[in-house]
Amino acid sequence: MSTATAARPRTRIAVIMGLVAFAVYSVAPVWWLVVAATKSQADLYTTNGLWFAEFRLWDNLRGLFTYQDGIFLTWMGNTLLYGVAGTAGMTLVCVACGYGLAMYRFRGRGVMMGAIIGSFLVPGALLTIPSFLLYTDLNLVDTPWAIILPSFFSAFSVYLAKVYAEGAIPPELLEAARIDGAGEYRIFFSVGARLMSTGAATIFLLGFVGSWNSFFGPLVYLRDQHKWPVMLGLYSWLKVKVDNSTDLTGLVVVGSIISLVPMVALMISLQRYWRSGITLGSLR
Amino acid sequence: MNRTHVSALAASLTLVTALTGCGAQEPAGPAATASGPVTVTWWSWDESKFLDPVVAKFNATHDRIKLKVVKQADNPGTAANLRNVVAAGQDVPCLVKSFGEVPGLVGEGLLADITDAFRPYTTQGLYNEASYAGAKAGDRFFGIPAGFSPSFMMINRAVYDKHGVAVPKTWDDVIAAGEKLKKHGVYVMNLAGEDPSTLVNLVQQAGGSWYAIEGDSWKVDFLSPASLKAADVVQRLVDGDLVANQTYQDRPALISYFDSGKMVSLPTQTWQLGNYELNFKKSLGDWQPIDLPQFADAPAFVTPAHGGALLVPKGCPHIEEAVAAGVWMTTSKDAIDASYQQDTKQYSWPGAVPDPSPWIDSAVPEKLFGERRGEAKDVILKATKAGRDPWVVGPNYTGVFSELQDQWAKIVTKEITVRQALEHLQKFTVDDLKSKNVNVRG
Amino acid sequence: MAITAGPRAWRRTAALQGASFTVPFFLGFVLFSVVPVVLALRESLFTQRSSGLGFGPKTIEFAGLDNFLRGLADAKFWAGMGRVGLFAAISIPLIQVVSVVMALLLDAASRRVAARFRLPLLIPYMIPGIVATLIWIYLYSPDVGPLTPFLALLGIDADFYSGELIWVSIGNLMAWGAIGFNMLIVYADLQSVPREIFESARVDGASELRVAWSIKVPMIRRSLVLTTVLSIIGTLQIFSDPMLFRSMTPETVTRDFTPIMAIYDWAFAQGDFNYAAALSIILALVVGAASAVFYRLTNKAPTS
Repeated sequence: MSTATAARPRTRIAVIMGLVAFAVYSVAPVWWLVVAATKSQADLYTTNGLWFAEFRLWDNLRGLFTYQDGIFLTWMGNTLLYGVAGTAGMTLVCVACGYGLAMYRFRGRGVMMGAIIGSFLVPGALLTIPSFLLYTDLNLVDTPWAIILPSFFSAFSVYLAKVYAEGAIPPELLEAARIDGAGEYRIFFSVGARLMSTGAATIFLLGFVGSWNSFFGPLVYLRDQHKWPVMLGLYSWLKVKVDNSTDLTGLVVVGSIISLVPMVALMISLQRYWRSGITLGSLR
Repeated sequence: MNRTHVSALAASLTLVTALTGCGAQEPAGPAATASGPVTVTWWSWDESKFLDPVVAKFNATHDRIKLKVVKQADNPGTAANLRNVVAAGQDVPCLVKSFGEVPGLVGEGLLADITDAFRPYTTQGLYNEASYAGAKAGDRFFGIPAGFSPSFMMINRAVYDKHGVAVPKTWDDVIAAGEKLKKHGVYVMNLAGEDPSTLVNLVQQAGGSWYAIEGDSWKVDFLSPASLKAADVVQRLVDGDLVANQTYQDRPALISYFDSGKMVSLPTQTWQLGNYELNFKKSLGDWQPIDLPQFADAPAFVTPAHGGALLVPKGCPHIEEAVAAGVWMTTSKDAIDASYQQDTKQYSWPGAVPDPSPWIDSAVPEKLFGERRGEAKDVILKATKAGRDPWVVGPNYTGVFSELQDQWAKIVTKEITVRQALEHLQKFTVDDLKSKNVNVRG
Repeated sequence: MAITAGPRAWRRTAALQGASFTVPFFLGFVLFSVVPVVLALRESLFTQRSSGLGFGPKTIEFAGLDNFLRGLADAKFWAGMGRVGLFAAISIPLIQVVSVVMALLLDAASRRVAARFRLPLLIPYMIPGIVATLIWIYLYSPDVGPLTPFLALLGIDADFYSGELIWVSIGNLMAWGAIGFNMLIVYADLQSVPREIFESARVDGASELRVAWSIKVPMIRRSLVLTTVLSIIGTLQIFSDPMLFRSMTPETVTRDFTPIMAIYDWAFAQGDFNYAAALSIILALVVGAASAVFYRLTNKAPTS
């Protein structure tokens, strides 16, 4: 709380006003989504988008959970599996790598950083066919591993982890631990990982949201629709109207709101990692 | 892409063996079950509710061949996935819902020549002969004809009557109606800037084609009399400001616009009617199905009927069986009946059969045409019988279509004339074929 | 233990153990990222030729650098690059400033207030792209959306689907989804910094604005550089947003409107995957050069 009490009242008001303005810009457009979720398919297109028509939210929810024998729930479950398994593994692999790159000087380190940054530059369009041939050779196609395993190795997360490690871990602290006789692995788990908790939580959240919203990988590597994640499922529903005599946009709207629930829950459960006031003293 | 190189690179990595261990093995492919029934895999991005009953019916009535459907997410996704599996040469499906023109896909090297397997079925009177052209590249079959959806027009009769405008019979009538309606702030048609199909359909209706095969060479002619006749209709609609330019992307605007009575004639096909029924509100019952307007000098009543195909990809291990299953799907009464939907009371449109009349009534929704619903049956049957398919495309049509889209947008916004666009496309197409080392004249 | 072996050996052991932290990542990285890139690089050196009517099998020929030379002379490709480069030069600074201001505000607020606002500010980032598209198509719609009539009240005649406003429409769509992401990365960096550093400045009487500008901003320079470089890459490779507007204003957004759109068109419509691969590499080099220039300007080498 020290920050707020130190701030002058005028500053505090300005800060809150600014935050309110940003919050309005961020949240106001979602109003359409909320209103649309309560409408029937015909009202969706022919009534004012900013206000309610006949209230059909319960029907829409029932439709969402019963359509095609409740495949939406299967999709949600798959997404949870891919998201949790993939992101947990990714966070471990990438935080360790970023920590290693930030805290140690060893031969090949420059090449590694170059490769990581270089990989950001490659347009994905170039890689679809070569990657598919590789996944076929590895027998990954149409297995959950095709989604989970590659997500472990996120160059972006490594870079982020390195940046956070450099900011959060004073090298002297590691020196001190070494002089106390701790091994490098123990130092990582007892000092490094703890100091990087905010960074790691951020990396986890970013990875999870990315995995939750991804559909191109699943579209290419998964065949059976019962293995699809929710975003690919919603995408396919959205596309139904293009050349079928039916339109499922209403289900997509409700489904996308429901699909936000786990992400919001995750966000709330990670709140404590962004608490201000980690102090060096508290670690010693 | 060369597969051996992938393997070599991958194998050089120690991780590989570990990974193949974790990856669950693919279910044994059809090749592995030589003694039992053969499994034909079918890719489609239609809703499962349309696909599953057809598969169930097939498997209930066939012992030697089993059909298995793999639901795809959408049209471009299917295209990406097929390119990938054909390149990998593994787990290639045997039937795929078409995502482009057959010759374009053959030009890409994606399809298998099924002429020998399919030819016996062409002598049994199973197909409407107009449906063959859409499954061929040159004189060879690369897919099973899936036929066409008959073209007709629906007009908002209430608005036509309100302004005392006569129902159009020719494209000249449409233009005349457009001029009268314009005074009341009503557009006669909609030409979406992203969709050049109106021009393509008009060329087909005029009996034209932009490509032709002469011997072992292509003849490209975007400036044929038929093509220019079509161009003239489009040009007059655009020049007179008689058409709206609503995009399909903005669905709420499109639907409420169509529903509002400000745009009153839609060239349409049976499969679209369900969507209009579902989404229209105010104008339900105001619409009337009418015959597709004709060119004034047309010798006979004609509708454009360029068909689609059920693709058979290169690398399909069971072409005979795939063709048998595909023919069953596109022509048998069992298959068509199995596609019946309880909720909408509709069948998938049997576009390839010579006589679709038993299924026409169900293709017409309940409320859209109001008391004129009865007229739809005759309109649709007449359109089916008058369907002609003079349309031939070349191996580079996918790319030419992409260029056509850019040109069309400029036509609709009056940046260029239709003739200028056609002249440009003539040069573009010929140059492109030459650059690919394909024989071409024109 | 290690200390008895002398400081140099001890250092070396520590460095080796440190390097071992990176091993799991790099094994997977080589397999899933490097191998496909090498395969794609190979493609760019070949070309395919048809014969006859173009329906038979193609012959594959080694083309050397022909595809690259053709790409360097491809006026339409470079026109797209220029278009996107200009857009990046204007939109990225704007988005970056807004994200940083947002992060600083959140950091300056009390813990209770910050907890209230964090979630709303991240909502757009969590909304999946396909749904964000649905929302903004509606809001932008000149026929049924609320923005056009609202601006008309203020005397502004705005059609967000038109060619003139397309970059504004795309920019806002991108910003809405991206600000939260950038903000979170910067904010997490700020939160990792020990608070004592700011407190001592406040005790010295520095205003909150001064603390933010002189102390906080320099502290987060590394993550700012990262988000900016990612924005440069993302913007130069922009694809899905202009594709959406291809329907709205197809006379403006042609098939080669942006470099990636041109690459997709070459690969999947024109059927020349080899040329598309060469263009992808040229694009990667340009993006790399732009990022390097940016690093140079901020005087911060990436590998330091």
